[in-house]
Amino acid sequence: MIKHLIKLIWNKKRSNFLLTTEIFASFIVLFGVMSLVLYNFNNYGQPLGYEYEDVWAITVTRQESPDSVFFPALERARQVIAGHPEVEAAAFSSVNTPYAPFTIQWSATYEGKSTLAQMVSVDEHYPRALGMRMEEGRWIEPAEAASAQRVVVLNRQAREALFGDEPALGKMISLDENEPAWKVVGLVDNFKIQGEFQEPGVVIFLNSKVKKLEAEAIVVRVKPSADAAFEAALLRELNGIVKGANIELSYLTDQRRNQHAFTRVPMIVAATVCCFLLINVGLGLFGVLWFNIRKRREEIGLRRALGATHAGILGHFVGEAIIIAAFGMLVGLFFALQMPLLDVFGLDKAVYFRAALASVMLLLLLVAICAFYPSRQAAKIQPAVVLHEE
Amino acid sequence: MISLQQVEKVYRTKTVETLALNNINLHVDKGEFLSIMGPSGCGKSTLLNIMGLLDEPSKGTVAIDSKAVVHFRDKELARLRNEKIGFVFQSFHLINDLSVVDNVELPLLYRNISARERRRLAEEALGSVGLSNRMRHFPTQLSGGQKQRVAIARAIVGRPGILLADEPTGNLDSAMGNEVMEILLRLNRENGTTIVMVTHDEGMARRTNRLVRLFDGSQVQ
Repeated sequence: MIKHLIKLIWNKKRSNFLLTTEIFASFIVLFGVMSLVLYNFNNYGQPLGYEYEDVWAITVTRQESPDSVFFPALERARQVIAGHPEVEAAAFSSVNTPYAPFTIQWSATYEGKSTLAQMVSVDEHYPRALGMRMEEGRWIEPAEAASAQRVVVLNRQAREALFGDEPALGKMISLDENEPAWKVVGLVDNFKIQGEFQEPGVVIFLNSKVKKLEAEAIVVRVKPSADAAFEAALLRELNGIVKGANIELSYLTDQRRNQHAFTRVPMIVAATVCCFLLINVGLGLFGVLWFNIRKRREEIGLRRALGATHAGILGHFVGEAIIIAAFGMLVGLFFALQMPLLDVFGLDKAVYFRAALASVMLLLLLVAICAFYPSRQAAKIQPAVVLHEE
Repeated sequence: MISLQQVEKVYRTKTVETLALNNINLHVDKGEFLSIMGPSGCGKSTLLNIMGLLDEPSKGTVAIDSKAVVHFRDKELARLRNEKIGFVFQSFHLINDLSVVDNVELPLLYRNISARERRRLAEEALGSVGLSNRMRHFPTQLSGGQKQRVAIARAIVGRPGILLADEPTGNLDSAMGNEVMEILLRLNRENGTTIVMVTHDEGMARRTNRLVRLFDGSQVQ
């Protein structure tokens, strides 16, 4: 029967062309949206690598003060913050704290293998402030921090990029060919610095006592009891310690919300447009099938006379609609599969395959739903009536 | 082969009730060639539809091979139509988007028959109506007589015991009409196919075994 339906559709290819084209276009749009949604969903499901609840990021941007004044003042500020009973831990960090809109990237090299990495300048308190766990080795120790030793901690992606399956601990990596190498002392799992929707990227944590940047931050883990009054008092205190600097305090939970909005809004807009498109396709499909069935009453009557049951006619027309849609989707799949083959956006190939599968399933479901009612009406046609219509 | 007892058919709308068939008692024997005649609107086609299980009588019983079919469900009726009855219509009812051989294969699609066997039977049926050389053509490329011969091939491809023909020569000129009538007579004579034919043509009707006349829904002969 499928062969018969394909033959019938092929012989009417001109009249089916527009419908096939519409399905093809819908498939491409749906595939794009599905890829975006699945990519983000996939990322969301991967471990974040830190805890953001009850964590504040205090960014300190100096105006004109020299290093000799600014950094000792900053250290004093960190100590004062850590001394408050409302605070569980306070750590230095470069400004690219989690969810912050900053990126610090440069290349890391090991025996000719090079990778672009997000560099986070940190101290020995950082893992406590962010609730991080070590996978292997250890974090930067207080003695190493104090004596400005060139030690780094890599995340999983950094280790894979530089060392593949080989052990990384104790190896020396280069972050600048004009400077001495850095020793790998520890490994952590994912560290998705831009938040849950970020694809896990390469991150290297380096001793902040070695690399200084113009703007610095202090990451503070507070107790749930820390309130707005404490926050205001703390800011006043910091302004008194680090004079002439611009100090900003933000909650990681707020930054997370903003970061998520950047990802969600385009996704929601694309999904909404796609929904309208699908509704449009559904209505179009419904109309075309309805029209076709009105035009084919005689054929339906004939098939009934020749032995087709009610269910047979229903299956015939739903099947025909699904095969027409399958033609459109096959052409769409050909183009869609170029994305993983040509590695257009550098996404994981599985995302494209899942998006293609989901798009096919969704369109098939839509076509089956839209075809069902007109096909059911076709099945109700009385052969005795239509076979005598002129 | 076909037996109708006290068959009545009434068409009802909200305001009008039309009696299309009134107390029809008719028995068609196996291998018989029966023709039905009567003026337009007398109920010939309605009678043929009831015999072909395309319509239900309002009253009375219909039996095919001595089996009453009144309470048969859709699936059983469809199987009976497919296996026991072949239809030939005045306006051929060929599907223009399918080739001649695909049109002839249609009834076999609703049976559990392999594609190769379907093709063999369709070619054989087309051969028996003299259209082996037109198999790949489409209905729009055929003359009226050829179309009706394709329709006959389609009706006999499943080797049904009964052939119901509703004015099979009505749309054809006399030469083509004779050609089609010859084929029907041959099928009846050589294969023993039971044929019931509705016609307006007295000459054609006289060539059949028996003639039934209807008038205003009642059997008058």
